[in-house]
Amino acid sequence: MQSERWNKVEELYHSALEQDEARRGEFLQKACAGDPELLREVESLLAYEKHSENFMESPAMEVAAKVLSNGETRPLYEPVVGQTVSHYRILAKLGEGGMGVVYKAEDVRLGRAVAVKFLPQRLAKDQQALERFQREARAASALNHPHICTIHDIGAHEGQPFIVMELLRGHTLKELIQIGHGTDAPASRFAPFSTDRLSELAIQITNALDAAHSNGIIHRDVKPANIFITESGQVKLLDFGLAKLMPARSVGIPGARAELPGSRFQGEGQSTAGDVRGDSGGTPALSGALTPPVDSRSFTDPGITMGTVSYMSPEQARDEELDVRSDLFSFGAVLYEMTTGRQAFPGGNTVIVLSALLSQAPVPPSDLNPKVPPELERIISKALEKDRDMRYQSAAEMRADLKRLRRDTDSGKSMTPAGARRDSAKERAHSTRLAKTWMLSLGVLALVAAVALTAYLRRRHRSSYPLTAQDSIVLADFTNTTGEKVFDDTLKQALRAQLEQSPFLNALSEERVSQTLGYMGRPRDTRLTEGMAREVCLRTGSTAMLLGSIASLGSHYVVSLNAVNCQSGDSLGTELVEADSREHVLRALGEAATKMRARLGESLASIQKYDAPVDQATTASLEALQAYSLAIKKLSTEGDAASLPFLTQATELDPQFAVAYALLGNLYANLNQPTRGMEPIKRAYELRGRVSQRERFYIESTYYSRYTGELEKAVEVCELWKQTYPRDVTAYVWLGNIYPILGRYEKGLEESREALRLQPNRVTSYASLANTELILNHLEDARQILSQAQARGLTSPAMQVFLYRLAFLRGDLAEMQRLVAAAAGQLAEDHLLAQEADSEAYHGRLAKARELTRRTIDSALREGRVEAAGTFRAAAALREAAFGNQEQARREAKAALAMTNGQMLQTLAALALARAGDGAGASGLARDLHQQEPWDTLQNAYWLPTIRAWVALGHNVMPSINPSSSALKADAAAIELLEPVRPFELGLPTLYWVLNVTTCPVEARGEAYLAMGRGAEAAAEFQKIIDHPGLVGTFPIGALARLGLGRAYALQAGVDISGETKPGARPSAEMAGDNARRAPLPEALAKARSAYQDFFALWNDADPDIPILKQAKAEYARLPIAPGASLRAKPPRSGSK
Amino acid sequence: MTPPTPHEVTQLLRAWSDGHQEALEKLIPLVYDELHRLARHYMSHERSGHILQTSALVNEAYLRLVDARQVNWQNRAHFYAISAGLMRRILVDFARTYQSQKRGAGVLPVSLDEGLDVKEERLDLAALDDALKALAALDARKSRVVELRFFGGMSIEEAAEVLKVSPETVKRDWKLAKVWLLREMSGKQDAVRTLEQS
Repeated sequence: MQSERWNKVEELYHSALEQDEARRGEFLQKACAGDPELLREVESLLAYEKHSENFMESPAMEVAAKVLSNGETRPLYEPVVGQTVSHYRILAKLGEGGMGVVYKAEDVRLGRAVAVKFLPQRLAKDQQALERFQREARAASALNHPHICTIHDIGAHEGQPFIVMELLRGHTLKELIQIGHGTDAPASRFAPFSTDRLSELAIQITNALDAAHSNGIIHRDVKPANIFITESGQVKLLDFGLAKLMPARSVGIPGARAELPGSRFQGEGQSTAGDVRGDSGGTPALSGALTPPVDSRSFTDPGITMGTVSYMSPEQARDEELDVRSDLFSFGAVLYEMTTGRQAFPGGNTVIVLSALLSQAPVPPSDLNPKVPPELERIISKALEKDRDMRYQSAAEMRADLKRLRRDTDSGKSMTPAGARRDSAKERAHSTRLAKTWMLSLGVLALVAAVALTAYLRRRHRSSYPLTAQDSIVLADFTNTTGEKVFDDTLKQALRAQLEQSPFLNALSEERVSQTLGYMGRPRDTRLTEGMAREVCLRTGSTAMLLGSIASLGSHYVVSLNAVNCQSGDSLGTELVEADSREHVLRALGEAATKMRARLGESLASIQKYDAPVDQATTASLEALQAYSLAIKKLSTEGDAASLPFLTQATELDPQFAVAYALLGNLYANLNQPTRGMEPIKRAYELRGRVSQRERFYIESTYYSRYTGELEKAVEVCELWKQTYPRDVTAYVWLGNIYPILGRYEKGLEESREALRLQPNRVTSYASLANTELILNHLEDARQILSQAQARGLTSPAMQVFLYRLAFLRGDLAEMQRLVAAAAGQLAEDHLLAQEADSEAYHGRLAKARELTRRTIDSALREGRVEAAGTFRAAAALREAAFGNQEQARREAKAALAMTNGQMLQTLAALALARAGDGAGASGLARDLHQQEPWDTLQNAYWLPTIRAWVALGHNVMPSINPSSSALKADAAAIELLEPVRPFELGLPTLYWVLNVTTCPVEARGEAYLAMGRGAEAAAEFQKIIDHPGLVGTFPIGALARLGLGRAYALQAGVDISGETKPGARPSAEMAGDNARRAPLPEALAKARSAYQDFFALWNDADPDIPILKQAKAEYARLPIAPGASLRAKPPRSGSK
Repeated sequence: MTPPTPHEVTQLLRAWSDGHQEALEKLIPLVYDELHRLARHYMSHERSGHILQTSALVNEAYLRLVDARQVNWQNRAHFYAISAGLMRRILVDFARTYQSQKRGAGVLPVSLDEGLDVKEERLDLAALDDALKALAALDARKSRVVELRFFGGMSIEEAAEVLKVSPETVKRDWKLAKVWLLREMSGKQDAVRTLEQS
């Protein structure tokens, strides 16, 4: 009769049950491949599994007897909705149960909503019970406590007693627990209450119990169904004292309990009689117990309802007298269930439950929920002591412990899970189960056994808590015995992504690891085997290492994680997970990592908040992750350029790989191709909804600083990032870069220093720190930082550029040449050539500069970096414009624009055009730039005003002692345009660190004042440039500022250096006020000469045909020799060197 | 009325299993007596906390009706099987009759849970009986496991002894039979219900 098919169903059903619930679906999919009907059948049966535990567990005899008795448990009288009982209008039935039927009603006199409970008839028929009911109701109502459900009234209607209580909105704790784990689901599905929430609720409950106990009232029936949590989160204890109302008569069946031979439910026939206090043994039931003497044990009635047995105290089960400590036991059982989702004393029937609660200690909560803090576990086990004297003696005492628990949770004190201390048994059980279920390959078996055994042996010696927030951990490379290459590196990267979400854990960065390997004299890409990881761990002062492995198991995979203290070698915790397919390995690993976080001491609240599943947040594609891992590895060992192709591949393999896009965008920017990075950055930003919090910070700060240029927003994100992940060095690095742009150098230094403190080996931190120190002209500090980095073997193109600038500022020509030579053929070649071109131009050696720029551009193009090349060309155009080669400037600018797009490229080209007399072209570009980047802080607050100011100045940029009124107007407009730039004008105007394009607005303002004939103001501006040599660096404006200053003083002195002033011309305001009528002011004149001489000194061997030089010489010739001034200054040589 | 001695019940059971229908007539009142005795207990004491005792009482009721100690060892398995069948028959008949008397065709609620809980499971013996017949057609042994365990009140080990299989097999049968029956009953009879809060 039994069909093959049914056999198959049966087989699969039992196999599925042995799987973890979460994996059953997958298991069945696989097992029933190609047979959807079979799948449906098994799944449909499984769906009933949850509900079946209690089904038929009471024998039919009991069921039938209850059917017979049931009529009596209902109220005598049941109102219908709409009817008014006494002065309560019945509105709706809320529920029913053994204690009667409850309705929602309106108190028509007071107009308030209430709950009315009609008591069951067996109670209603019992006069004594009723009297006691009234007594208790009065006592309970007298409690008047915020955490005890208020009793408003008691009454009777047509002989039917009822009780009126406050109407509560919310759920019973029982429902809340069931929402978490379903009625009988395994504990694995149960989402435990967070320690915060649990302690909060528990404290309220102890408050209620304390109040009741102080008034001499014992609840007697503390259980989840009697604990109500209102919508506002307030706890209300229900049915206070009601439990005691039940008939006082003692047990009725003669001899029932005295002899319990061979209980069939016990299977072994052992009697539980010994546990049961024989009461009046054989006394007929209804013998005179009508007036219950409270102190008589025989007649004391614990009044516990059927089914509540799970929360019964041992004394209650033994029918002994109860006291306040009995309530605390029951409450302990409730806490146990809140923590684990399972009853402390589970069992299919009451006999099993009772035998458990009388004689067995419950399974430790941490076995069911490894995240249970040890303190909570201690509280629960103390409450569940079988001997009352060993329990909490009062609710207040228990409350004190709960408050301590809450405080420790709040203060973030490491909530080391109790489970971390005692898991070996569980693991061994797990591995046993695995072994039973699967035909294990020998290798896997060895692995599982080794993990379990080492964990067990190591843990035995362990004494202290795993980790604190100050500790860092080293991630070892996974031991991959599957033979599948795709897991190499990938799993470690996924683990890192998962762990890095944790603000608590601090996984040592890849950069740091590879650095440390370098110190150890090993190749930077050395595999971190256990031994190697341990050495890295010890050398870096990390606390622990995380060893991972993956092995195959048929078509399944087993992933293990083992955290080991690298000092002692003790295991701090192990996780073993199984994935039923290759596709699920990442998810399984993510789950294991999450568990490991708890195990290592992270608080539940933190884990809940920062736990995006790695397969959703990062990527679900193993191949994409593999490419990404390689990219990260390359990044830390070989730098940006080497990493790029792998990142590109990663985004191709998983077009949803948000964080890979963001990194890609940043790498392009680092490689001076920011425009190519725009699309990936935007894409990352669009995909940021699915990422982890940490990835999200990274993506958003990238987006705001690089894509929209909204630096204030970027700062905001980074500050929040710092707050959330105070050890994430990237946030500080970003801020270290952004604050200098906003002109907040000291703040930038602070952030960069913090970045360095956190991660002493991060080259970018050294770079931004050095850059900022250089800008501040703190040459010695910059030198120290740069040599520190060099000592650590850290280098990058940026570092080389900053070394060059340092040498330039110190006038160390040999070092400059050495650096350029060293970069030849290297990645940094074009960067260094660009520096050299600038420093040649700084000294007026334009032909040489042009040649170097050409080589720079060629070098960049050879590397395929078109945008970088174009930007260098635009910078060269700007240089030509400043030097007075207007036609050359326009040509270069247009050539640059023709090469490609790019924000800095267009900006510099526009500036060059504006200065070279192509106001229309410049304005057009400015408009485009504004439209492209409407929110870009730098663009809008710095560059566009500068471009527009130059457009306004037009070619009327000659210092003029008596400008025309129209020129004056235009110049004044330029000054006005530049006004809003003031806060940023001495900031770093680009994230494009290789470019020397600072102080442009200051220069523009100085020129405008010159054109207006306002010498003093012009001098102040040029002086600003001269006073910031670090900021200016190799930018030729630094040299030209001397000329500007000379011109300004000449104006101030009243000298017409332009040679344009004709007799009778209208004098300028300044002139009219002062100088015109007098002879040249000797002091200003001396300064003017001195400034010109400075310029000529810098341009000592400049190319002679540079227009601005020729002009400067002519101007200088017009300066009268001041009385007493030194004649030492020679006019510049006329030829080049 | 003097309760029958276990020995008498055993004799009656034997007679019944040998085909003497009048034996059943005598057995039914005995079972009913036990039932009422238990019901009385529930009525007055169900809520009074003597859970252990009520469970013990059920045990005892079974023992009084079906005391295998009265039977020689060789026949024990057979005897268990017969008594379980008998209990099934009587209890299901009782449920059908009682239901029709008290509540029309409705299903009598049986609280398996406590207190003021809004969710209660209800078990209808008659519906279960029907489902069990369907199960027997699919897998006779599982249906017998249910009969022995649920109707006969036997332990896993006892059922294993009757069926001459390992206790492990009984456990698996019992587990699957429960879900199968539950599904069967919820589909057809709506016997297991969840009372939602109105």
